[in-house]
Amino acid sequence: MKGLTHFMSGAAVASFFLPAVRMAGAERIGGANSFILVLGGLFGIMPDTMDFKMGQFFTKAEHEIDPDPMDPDPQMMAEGLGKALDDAYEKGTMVKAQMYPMRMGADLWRQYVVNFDGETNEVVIVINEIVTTSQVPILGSEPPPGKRIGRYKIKGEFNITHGRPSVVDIMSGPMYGFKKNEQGKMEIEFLPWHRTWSHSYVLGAMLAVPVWLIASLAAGWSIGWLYGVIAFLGFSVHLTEDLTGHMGGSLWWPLVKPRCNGLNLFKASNPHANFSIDYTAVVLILFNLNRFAPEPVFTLSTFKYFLYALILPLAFYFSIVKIFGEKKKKKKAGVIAMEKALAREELEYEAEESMGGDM
Amino acid sequence: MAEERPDQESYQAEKPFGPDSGLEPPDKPIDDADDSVGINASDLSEETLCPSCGRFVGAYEKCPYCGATLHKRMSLLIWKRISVGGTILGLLVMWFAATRMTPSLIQIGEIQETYNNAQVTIRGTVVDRRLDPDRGSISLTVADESGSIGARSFSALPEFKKLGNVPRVGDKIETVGTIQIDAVYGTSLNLDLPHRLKIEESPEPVKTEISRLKSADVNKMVTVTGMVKHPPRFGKAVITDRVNDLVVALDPRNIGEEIPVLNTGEGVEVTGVVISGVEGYTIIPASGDDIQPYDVTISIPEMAIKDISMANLGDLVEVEGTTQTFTAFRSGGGSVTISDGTGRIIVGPLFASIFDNIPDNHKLKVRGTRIRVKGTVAQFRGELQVGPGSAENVTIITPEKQQ
Amino acid sequence: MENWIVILLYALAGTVLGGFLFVIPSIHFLNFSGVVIALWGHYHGLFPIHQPLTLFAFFMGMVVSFGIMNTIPSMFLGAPDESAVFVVLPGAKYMLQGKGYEGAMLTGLGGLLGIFFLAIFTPFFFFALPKLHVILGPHMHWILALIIVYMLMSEWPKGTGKGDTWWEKFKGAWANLFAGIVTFVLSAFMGFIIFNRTMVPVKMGFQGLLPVFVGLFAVSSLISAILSKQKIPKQHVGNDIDLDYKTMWKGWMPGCIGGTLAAYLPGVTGGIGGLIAGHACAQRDDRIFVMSQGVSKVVYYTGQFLLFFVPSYFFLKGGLKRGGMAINLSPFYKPVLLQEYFFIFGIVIMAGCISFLLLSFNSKWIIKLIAKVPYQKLSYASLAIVVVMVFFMPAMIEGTVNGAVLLSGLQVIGVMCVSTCLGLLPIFYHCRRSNCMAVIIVPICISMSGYGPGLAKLLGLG
Repeated sequence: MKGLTHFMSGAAVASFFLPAVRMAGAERIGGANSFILVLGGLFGIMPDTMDFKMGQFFTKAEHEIDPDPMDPDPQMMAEGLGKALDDAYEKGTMVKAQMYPMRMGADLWRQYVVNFDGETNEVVIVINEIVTTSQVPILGSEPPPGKRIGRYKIKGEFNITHGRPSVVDIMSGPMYGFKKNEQGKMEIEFLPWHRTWSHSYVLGAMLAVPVWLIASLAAGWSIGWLYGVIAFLGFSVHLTEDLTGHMGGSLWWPLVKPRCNGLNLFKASNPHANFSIDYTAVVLILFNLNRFAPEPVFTLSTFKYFLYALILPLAFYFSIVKIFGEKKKKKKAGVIAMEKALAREELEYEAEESMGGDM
Repeated sequence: MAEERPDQESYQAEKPFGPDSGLEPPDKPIDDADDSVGINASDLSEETLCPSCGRFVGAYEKCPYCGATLHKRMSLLIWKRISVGGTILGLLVMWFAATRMTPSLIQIGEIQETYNNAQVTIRGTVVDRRLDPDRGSISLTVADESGSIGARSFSALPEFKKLGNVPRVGDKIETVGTIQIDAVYGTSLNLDLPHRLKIEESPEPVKTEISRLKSADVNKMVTVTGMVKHPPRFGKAVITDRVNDLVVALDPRNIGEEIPVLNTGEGVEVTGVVISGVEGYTIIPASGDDIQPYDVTISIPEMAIKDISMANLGDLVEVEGTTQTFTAFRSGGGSVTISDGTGRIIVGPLFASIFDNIPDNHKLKVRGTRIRVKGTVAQFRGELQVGPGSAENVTIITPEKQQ
Repeated sequence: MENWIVILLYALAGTVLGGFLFVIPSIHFLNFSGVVIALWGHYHGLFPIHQPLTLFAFFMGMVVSFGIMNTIPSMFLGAPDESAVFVVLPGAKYMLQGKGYEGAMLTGLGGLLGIFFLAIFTPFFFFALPKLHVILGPHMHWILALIIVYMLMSEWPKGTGKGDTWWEKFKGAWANLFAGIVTFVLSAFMGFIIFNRTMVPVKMGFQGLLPVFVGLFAVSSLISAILSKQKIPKQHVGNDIDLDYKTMWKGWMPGCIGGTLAAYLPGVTGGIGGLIAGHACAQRDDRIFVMSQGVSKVVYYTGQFLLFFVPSYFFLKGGLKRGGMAINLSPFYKPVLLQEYFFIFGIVIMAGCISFLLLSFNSKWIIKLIAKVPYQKLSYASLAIVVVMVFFMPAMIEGTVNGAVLLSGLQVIGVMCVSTCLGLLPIFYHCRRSNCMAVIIVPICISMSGYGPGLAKLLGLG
């Protein structure tokens, strides 16, 4: 899920607590109002913050593939990545490889595609056109055919769980984690540092403890526990929402370290899923603020409120999406370009073969 | 004021492998490709390339590829340093100046619309005060020679009380506040800094007479004596020295709930601030203790009805007569016509709040009931009447046979 | 309503004047309103006293035309080059691709859709918003705090992650984040000083934030434009736009959400509202972003001012005053009739349509102008205009020029210089410029929470 979704969900969870809402909204004479509800949002976004703003820098990749943007060598790139795979195959432990983008200018990047071919057990790198930061390709800027595709056959076999090619262009490149599974096949972990230790309910509980202590010292022991609970719940909501995607998380780190898979219900970047959860969070917050107010403004029953405010609007929204939305999944432009390049290579190879046969 | 120029800030090309990406870059049809700009390394500005390895480095000062130190364009480097240094130094100077400066002292009368949101100092006399302990609000009216302004805070009363800073009516104060001007609520001063209110002086009242009050006494503390002409009603009473009347403001939000009982004809001494308004002069006491009984030698003349004429309008008189007719009001109470043998006059209006408190009031509806009334001579549609103003001023003397 | 034709003429005058005035970079309707109000103080004939609605109609015309017209300076007259920015903004990208006219018209179309949204939303203003306001009113401080926290937390490292050690990677990535936090904190500090002390002459109190905002956004943008060495490619003026209905809907929705958030929440501006709405709707496409900007700007600026016209009897606890324009004009008149709301809304529609037409006209001659005159020169001219306006604002309010007034002008310029330095930080250190909005959002949040006096005392500003 996107950061805003986690953030809003955390705040929505916090709003379920009557004392928290009263503390936040109380117009205490001569007193100041609380920001306790913000804690839910803050901890809702915390796991990804820890990963992307801290964790990724402490993860060292054993192999780094940093191509020269002026003269990209796809073969070198494929070999670099392939050797990382071979390393993992031989050692039997996780080996990480970091791919870097190729920046050509303030608004220009050389796009390339990384594909792990499960049929041929090859790492395939295809260098595409130069693209702008909004990923609009500049036609005619692809490298010459000889410098377009790189392949490397790995020693082992792939067990592809991440089947789609990765397009690398703007800002940053992915890190892969390669490891051999029990069947001796090579598994690929995407961003191996992401959603590991930071996406753990245990860590959430551990982080809630200092919140509880600090809040208790500042506001009193009778209410400090609420801060800790809200922090934990906000953190936990994030982890639970992430389970809807592909990647899952290391939910019980440090007790259980490996990352578990998610439920694969939808992609984390799915705009409709994100929007509907954001909207639901807003509806929930309003519901709670109203029912906990000294004088509720609306007195609809819970069922009617959620029917009119949530179910019907979302039903309308999704019916619009269904009628007017994208009918089939479009392939990414980079992947299409890669496929075209590979198809061209195939044709050229067949042409050479046939010419050789004639001769 | 200008607001942020780039609303485009909401857009930031996000990392494809960043937290919000769902880990994969978005779709972009290749048909949208823009072929209007060709690319050549020579198209890149020289300053953006590393002189050592020739790779693009953009705004970096050290090449991330080969580690070479890059010499940036002078203007940009200077501007970067100016922006950092200027910000920090400038803010420190502003802070220093802000902590040292005293908001300008202004005359209340000079405030105009362009002063909205300005923090100022005003100096004047508190001529009115309303406190609401339940809500924590305090509202003062402060007047100086040029005008008056409402100064209020919706929640700072406890802070004022803690500081011992709650001014009384008549106190001369100096306070800092922010001017708020609104077409609906008018001009007011926001008392957001309780500790900046200083009670400069609680002046001693000057003893004077009601009929000697003049414009020079406005906004000053005085003590006057007089006789109650109209007892308290709707937060006001009227006292008189038989020459002039003076309104006494008895707002419970100012003087508290313990408002002294004032009956018509009783003598009182009132200490408070004088203000001028549509009703003439008004005196605003600071507390209930500022209203004390006083032995005045002002008597209410007993007059025959025939002697009461339009020339007596506003005078306090006492009449005695027998009830002739009673006219009931729809909302309760009524007026009664009495006769003393010399003439007839209407006693009223006896509103429900007065009528209901007269003992044996049903006898007023009976012809022939003897009553004595103290009240003010007024006229209604050309007819003279005596208005008692309170139930205490109507005395039923002897019951007569029923009609 | 008497003499509605006169009021309509004032509205037309405001629209047309705004249509040409706001083409100048960094001229904002709030700056200009200060000038007009100052002049009106001395020339009462400018707006008939007995018809205060003329003043509002004039400014509503200006507000609407600003919302649509300020696309031109931001798109055509402020192109960043490689060394000044990390990410080229979508509107500027259109211009760099030679599609500036199309980009401007896309934004203008968004503006018209924004007005359409306001028309649909009008019943909400009357019935649902007042009730919502009762629920949310006591919680405004932490809602603003949520926005503040999200603004800070949602800024992600921009580095490519290169470095031999973790520290080098960390440092490279955190440079822009750190700059963002520093900008935010310093802006908040500045805002706190400004809110607790009137740093401008007292008579200029109603424009107390003028030098701050001019420095933070206007002057800093102009300096950035002057320093830029970007050459603008030839612009193509087409007859149609690359847009379909689906994309239009996708651009309309986030713009409406962002603009509404910005119009309702105090201290939250169009940029911040757009940021949140963009993340909520999670759409990526330059056309969507450019269009949503157009929607968001008009909904924000116009919607804020329009809320002032919602009769206060719809609100359970008094009326609603949002935005600088409503605050500036509230001392003069408070519209009370429902009739006035609808009349003003009619002006909004008229002004929007005229502004859209003027947008097309102005874009064309601006394209011709920038082809002949380097936009750096235009930026110098704009800078001069803005600085002169700020310097002479005390004189305009006073109605005279003397030593004391000129000294006040210097005082105001001094504040502007500090805020300019602050506004340059995000430009040079590649963080979000919306961090500068901490100058109002943080003091408002702290004040609403009740911690204002305590913090003021702590900083010696009490």
